[in-house]
Amino acid sequence: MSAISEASVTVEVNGRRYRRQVPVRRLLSDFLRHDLGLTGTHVGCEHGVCGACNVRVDGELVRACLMLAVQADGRRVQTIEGLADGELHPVQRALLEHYGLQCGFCTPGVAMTLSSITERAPLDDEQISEELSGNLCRCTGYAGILAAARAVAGAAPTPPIDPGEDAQR
Amino acid sequence: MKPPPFTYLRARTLEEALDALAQQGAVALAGGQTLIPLLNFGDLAPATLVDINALPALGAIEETPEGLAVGALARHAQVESSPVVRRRCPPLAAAARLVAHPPVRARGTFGGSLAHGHPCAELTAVVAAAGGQIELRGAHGSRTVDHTAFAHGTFDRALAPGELITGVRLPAMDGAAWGVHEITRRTREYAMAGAVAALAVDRGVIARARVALFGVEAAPRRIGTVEELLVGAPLVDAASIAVADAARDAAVPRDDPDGDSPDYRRHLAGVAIGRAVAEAVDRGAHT
Repeated sequence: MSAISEASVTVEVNGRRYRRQVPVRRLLSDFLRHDLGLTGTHVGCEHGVCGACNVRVDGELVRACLMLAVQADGRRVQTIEGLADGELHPVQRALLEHYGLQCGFCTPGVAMTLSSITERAPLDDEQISEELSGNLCRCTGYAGILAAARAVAGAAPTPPIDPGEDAQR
Repeated sequence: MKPPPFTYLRARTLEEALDALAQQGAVALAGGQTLIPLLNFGDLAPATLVDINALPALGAIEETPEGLAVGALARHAQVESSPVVRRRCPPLAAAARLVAHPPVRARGTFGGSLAHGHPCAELTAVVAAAGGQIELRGAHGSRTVDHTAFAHGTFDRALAPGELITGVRLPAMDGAAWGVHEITRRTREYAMAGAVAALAVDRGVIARARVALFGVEAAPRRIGTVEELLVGAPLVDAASIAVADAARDAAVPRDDPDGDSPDYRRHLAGVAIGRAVAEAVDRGAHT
């Protein structure tokens, strides 16, 4: 084996198989966005701080900006595009119902984090905060995000906000 | 914010990895949670990345007669949840939980953490407290180095060119009286100050103390003056011992012209050690 500068990457993303020839320096986040056209995965900081690019690789929640595409060769990736199954995924619905959406930039990463914690529910508030600590929201819409998290993974879910009369205007 | 060009090799055997690492400009890629940001920033331009993730033999966490053997590829999440770690060295599991965020802990590795040599590395602080040994392999053979001789300073450790950390051997810290505490401005950021305390208690008296400071000095290290104050004291009295003062006097803050004042960081060293020891005393008294 000798070192290579380009690699053939075969990866299953959201149940579909893709094969692309890419430079080995290609980040997984850029591979998803530019090589596969799956632009739902957002790129914020590109150094693993913001969580906007969170995806799942073989089920595990990871930072797509801190992995090379070549490292995903032969693996299964799930992105935000793979969450909804004809209908919104419960975490997407919860974000909608609990006003966990502000500008939407951090939402894909948040939703991927939430999808990973629903599988370990129920979590208490401290655990939920810990799990979400790696997702930054520059709109500071954390109250809604946490409410959505409690709804899908909490021990004592919060009821959705009642839009009340505003909804009828 | 993209990595500079490099070539890539996915090593299939340890020998293949070591041969590749012996070449000029080769760097090992383990979890990549620190290395890839450095590439993205353009702070590092290796000729070759030698991916060691396919070497599963390096990922094992095993019990040894003395304590624990942790493979270099053990992920933080694995260390955090390992029953063996929780039994033989509970402060290590607690420290792993303090590293960055869950997605980073899913990939970041024990060996990578040690190789990077960050002064705020929680896991390194536990290795320092326990008096662990670093196992290294190079193209010309293997050697084992005491952590005190390995961690020279900030990002400065006793790694020869082409050498790979293959694992760490840790004496057990399995007593009931232990504490890990860190002070950060925001959750899970780099610690401004942190401490690991493990007390061995015999018939209510502290027989041995291991107290390490991290985040303040150039590298994590044990603080002997604090340990001496604790040894021989009844556990029930330990909470009143002035460990914070001793830690403040002993701490030598690393150069950080843009950071907080050295005096403030010495103060935080005292607070962190005081809290870790209090946590250890509390835990020891309730078991």
